[in-house]
Amino acid sequence: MDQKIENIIKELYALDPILRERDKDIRAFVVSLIELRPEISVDKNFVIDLRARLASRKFPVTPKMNHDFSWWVIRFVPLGAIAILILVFLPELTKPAPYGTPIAPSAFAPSETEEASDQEFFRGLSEPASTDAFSAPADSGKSLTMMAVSINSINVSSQNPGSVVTVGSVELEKPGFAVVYADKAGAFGEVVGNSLALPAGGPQRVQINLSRPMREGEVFYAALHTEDGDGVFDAEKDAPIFDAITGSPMYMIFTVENNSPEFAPGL
Amino acid sequence: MEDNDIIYIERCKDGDGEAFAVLYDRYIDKIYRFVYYKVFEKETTEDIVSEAFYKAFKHIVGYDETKGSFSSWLYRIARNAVIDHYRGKKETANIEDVFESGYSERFSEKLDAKEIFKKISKHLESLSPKQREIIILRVWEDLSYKEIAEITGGSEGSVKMAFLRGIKDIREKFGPLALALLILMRP
Repeated sequence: MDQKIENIIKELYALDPILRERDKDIRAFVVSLIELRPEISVDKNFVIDLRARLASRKFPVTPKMNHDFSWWVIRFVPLGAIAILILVFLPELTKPAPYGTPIAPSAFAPSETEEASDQEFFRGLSEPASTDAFSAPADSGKSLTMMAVSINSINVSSQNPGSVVTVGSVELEKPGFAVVYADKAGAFGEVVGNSLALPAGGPQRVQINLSRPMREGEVFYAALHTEDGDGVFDAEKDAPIFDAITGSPMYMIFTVENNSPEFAPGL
Repeated sequence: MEDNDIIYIERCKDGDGEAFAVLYDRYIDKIYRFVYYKVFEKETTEDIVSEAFYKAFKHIVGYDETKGSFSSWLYRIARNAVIDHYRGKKETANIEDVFESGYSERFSEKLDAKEIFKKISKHLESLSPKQREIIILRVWEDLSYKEIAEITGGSEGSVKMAFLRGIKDIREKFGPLALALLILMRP
């Protein structure tokens, strides 16, 4: 503090030497000005929350990095996929087969049941992952782990009671929808609203009109769905979007609270 | 700007997300205070600070160290975020208006800052907006004239002169005794 005062005073005298004649006066004044600085206590929860929201974003890379990343993807992801396939199907492959017996295509293709299970994912989800799955733990200290995530992302803050949800930020690799689900005993319940068909790209702020008003204390989920080209949301045909890296569904949980910020920065 | 900011910036450009986290931890408090001293309202501050760091996160790969320090770049983003915030509420927004706008929007908060600011506002409001901003950045934020010039625009020399004129104006109008009384009256 003393050094700071001396520096400021030295600067003032350099600019206007006449001020030296009132050295005592000037010093008292500068000290007073410094001591009048309001003490601000930064909300630590805000700091942690913002860090977590930034962590959930895809980190932009320079074109050189993209090229390097593509090099690795082209060469090693297929090898990894082949290795997994071999390990999974090795028992089947080592079984002796009669000469000429064809391999059933269903051994390598997802069944209709498996495809349908994706459609039912949100309805049958018993323990939806909270946003904590993508945020740094509260006591993460100074370090923050950022994952390379898919281009798809959705961010929504707490909402005021009412019939309109403002999703602060939606990014889509391909055209899709932002869909709001009610909560049903800690799981995804019914669809209560969806956006218009959204173009690929972003980030874009989206407003969704709901079929019924939100009440304070309620919990909802905002999820990303694909768009099959007809411009109309159909839960049967427009499948949920999953993160390409983690395989987790792209959604965010939010609560309804009075006095929520009207403008959600939507990071 | 801290000496090794550039190391973390280069790592950010290589896609190292943890490097950005280091920079975030380093500057979040400073940027928060910088914005708060302009708007004096917690929720608005948090919105603006979020927006500023989001923009920094998006554009750090394009940061050019030859054009100024990283901290000045970050402060400038925050400053513009404040202007953008109030521009959304008025047809035109000049940084010079923000101080008055922010003051009129201050809600009742049990913060020492608000009470203090009420008391000292008559001193700061007597200054030109540019003098006010420069004095706050120099005295309260301890930024150099070079950094202040990079943030506010203009030359280092003009910043110094504005600082000097602002200090003299306050002193001539209110004198050191008035400021000392303010300190004694602090809750």
